Amino acid sequence: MFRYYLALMIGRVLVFLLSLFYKKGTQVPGKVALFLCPHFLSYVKKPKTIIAVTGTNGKTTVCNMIVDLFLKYDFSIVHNRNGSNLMDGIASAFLKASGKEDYAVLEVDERSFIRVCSYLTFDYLIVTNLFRDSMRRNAHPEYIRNIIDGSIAPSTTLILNADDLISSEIGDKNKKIFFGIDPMEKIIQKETNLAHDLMICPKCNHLLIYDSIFYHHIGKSHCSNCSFTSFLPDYHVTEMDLIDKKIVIRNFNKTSVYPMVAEGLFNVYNELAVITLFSELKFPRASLSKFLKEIHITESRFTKTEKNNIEVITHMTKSQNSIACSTVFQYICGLSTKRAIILILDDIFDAKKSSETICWLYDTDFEFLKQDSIAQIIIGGVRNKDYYVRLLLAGVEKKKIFCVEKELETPSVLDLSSIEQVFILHDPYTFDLAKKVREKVLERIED
Amino acid sequence: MVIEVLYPEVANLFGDLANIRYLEKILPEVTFHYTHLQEEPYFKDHEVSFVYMGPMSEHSQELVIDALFPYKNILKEMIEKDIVFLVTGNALEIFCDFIEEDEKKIKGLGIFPFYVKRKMYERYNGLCLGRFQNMKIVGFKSQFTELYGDNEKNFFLEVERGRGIHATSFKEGIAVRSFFGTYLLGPILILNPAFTKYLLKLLHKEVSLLYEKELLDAYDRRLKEFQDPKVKF
Repeated sequence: MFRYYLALMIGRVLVFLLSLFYKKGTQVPGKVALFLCPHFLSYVKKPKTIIAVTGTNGKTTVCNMIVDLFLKYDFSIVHNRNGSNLMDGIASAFLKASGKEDYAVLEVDERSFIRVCSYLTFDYLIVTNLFRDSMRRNAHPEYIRNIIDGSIAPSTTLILNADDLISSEIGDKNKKIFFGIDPMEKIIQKETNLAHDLMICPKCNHLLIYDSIFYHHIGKSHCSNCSFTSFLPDYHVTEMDLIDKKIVIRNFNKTSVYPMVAEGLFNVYNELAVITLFSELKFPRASLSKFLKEIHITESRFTKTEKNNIEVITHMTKSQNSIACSTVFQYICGLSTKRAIILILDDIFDAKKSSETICWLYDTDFEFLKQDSIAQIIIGGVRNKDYYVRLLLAGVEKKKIFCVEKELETPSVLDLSSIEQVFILHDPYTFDLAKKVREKVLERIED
Repeated sequence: MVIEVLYPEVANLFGDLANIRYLEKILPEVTFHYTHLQEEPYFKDHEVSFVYMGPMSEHSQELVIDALFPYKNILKEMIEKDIVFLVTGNALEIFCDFIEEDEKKIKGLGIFPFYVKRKMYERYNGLCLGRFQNMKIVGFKSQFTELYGDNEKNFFLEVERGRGIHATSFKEGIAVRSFFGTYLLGPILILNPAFTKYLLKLLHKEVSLLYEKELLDAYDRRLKEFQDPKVKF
């Protein structure tokens, strides 16, 4: 225990010192604490209820929403939203805590699941979805599913996406609560995406028949051979009002209306996961609905600025993650405004001292960007020639594609005539760069 | 002419099916036959000029071995008859003797005298620059496995940078007659236009590549990067 107290003391001193320099998000204290005491997370005082969120896409958004809601309810919480979702970040979160918190809300990286689960037992685990992700880190969804499946404690209540047959199969012995969306004309996808991670039945390996696909393998399906079928959700969206921004959720015979926090089907899934959790925790619908109206998606994920009737939007997407990019492309494709798109998607980590892997570009639906209303696509960064080829093969006209070597040069080739929206799509690690690009775009508009 | 794509419902990771989508664009007159796991391979009763299979999960490898096992002799004959094969990532392992993981041993098709060591806790990621005939081939690798056996006389690439079939090997993949098996992943035909032309020549199709100039521009940049001693492999 001596090592634990030493780690706790030094870690807390580091948290205090770093807070003086406004370094809220650093994982250094956790890293040091784990170095001094590798079992630090076993000994540290934990709240009565620990909620974890994992999955390929949406985990940060879901975590942020849960944290925001608990804060609205005036609960004190341990959370790692300012830090990393690896062991160091989680240890740092506990170092910042007083030990008297009501809840812990932890975003957990899928790959770190085995290590984190050997020290922490979650009361609730939300798995947003599982898709193919970075080839280097995540290999393939089956690999990640097996990691999570093999790590969760039997006592954990799982909150799972019924429309995702990869993650919904996790935890045979656990209590499972499912969320999902009913098939609706406006969300059923007519065309299929390039990447589809589950085409065969997990039970008998025959082809699955998708009765409705919402995006990629998300939807409702059944096996062409055996009785296997999608799970029935306990909480399901029955209506989505895109004009009044409302969603209707049914839980058994009870129907409730909630505000739609953000546009886009993926965001509705994120919100639905959060509502499922709070409903299971017995929070009243009225207050939940009221607080949902007051929360927003974090700025680093989505910003909108207007100048001279032109909207400049920064939208985070994840490089090396074909599903995240395709989902954003699909969202942009659904708009009817005259748009220009700036892509600054080079992955600074994958490229560090090396050459970035570009395989993921060919699982990404750049085909969504082949649209009359998209006037220009500007690519900035060292991989621009690869994006150029990919866009051409997606059927985008040559005359619409512009390549520049440096991201900050992208606004200089922007043609603003008759443009209503400029989208700047960036990686999570290049938000600062995206902000600079946004400033330059706004200057161009001002000129 | 028929190009058979084996098991695209599972053998579809890492953007590899873009190779087929690209060929579909440049060979509009060719029939592309997609064979699924519960079906007999098209090559069993029909003439096929080119067989393609991409990378998959470890569980899927077992399904594919089961599906192809009854046809291993036909596959051997096809290789002997110079039918073109392009097999990428861990799909190559299916053609070998066995895959070993801890105590588990999975029997492969046994077409090539090689075996695989799989370690699910050790993923190798890297770049690869190698020479095939007079071409420089560029590509990416990402795998839990290493391949063992003697490929000194039938390798696909002479590795200049990166690794071959295992950590200490400088010979990448297996090339026997017109069979090309490689651990290189992703859209290798788009990344390597000269090799694509070579494959097309084997198929007696001397067509110009779609967006050839743009493909070459991207290739030249990557080759330059891969040849840069500062670039980590």
